[in-house]
Amino acid sequence: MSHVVSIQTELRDLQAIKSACHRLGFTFHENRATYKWYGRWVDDYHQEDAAYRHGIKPEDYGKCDHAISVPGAEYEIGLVKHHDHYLMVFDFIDAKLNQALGGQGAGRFLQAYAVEKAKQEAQRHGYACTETHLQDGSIKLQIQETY
Amino acid sequence: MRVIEVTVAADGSSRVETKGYAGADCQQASRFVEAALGRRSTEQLTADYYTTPTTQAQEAHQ
Repeated sequence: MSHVVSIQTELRDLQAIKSACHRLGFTFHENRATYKWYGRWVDDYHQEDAAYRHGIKPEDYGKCDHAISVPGAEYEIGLVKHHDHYLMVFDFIDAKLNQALGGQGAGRFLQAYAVEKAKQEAQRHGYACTETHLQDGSIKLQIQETY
Repeated sequence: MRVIEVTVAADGSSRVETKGYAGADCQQASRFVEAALGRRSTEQLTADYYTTPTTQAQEAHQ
């Protein structure tokens, strides 16, 4: 080992987002300006990850730059452009949506995105990449130069 | 064998580790993956970072 870095995944690449959707069986709706949610803000959620705490006004809930729908879920995910990346905004009261995303933190989707993005970058730089699924739910990629 | 390992946890956070690189080469080697994935939260330099590929050549000249 010579160097270890921890990274907080950010959704910066639309192509990788599309690949993550495909990987998980979700549907990506490019340039769709609205996503389905309860429809009316009832001022009942104020945790750190509440959308309004990240620059999205309650009157703009339901609006987005792109949308994602999930099989079996009524509500959808909105992708909202925020500086150099997208925020995922969704009403987690939909249990099927919540489960498909891996909880309120959308861990399952972020994992799929990070894997697809890393594979994409490896390929772009001419590296070989192998994927292994670990018992704790992590996914390990080994990226090597090809000679 | 030089390898860049990316481990993505179930919560979506990533850990990028270089193996087999010596000296500052390790930081350069994995930079493209780190920058692509998101925001760096921590960095740890391990013993291999402090060796240099030119050590043997320097010893020969002495």
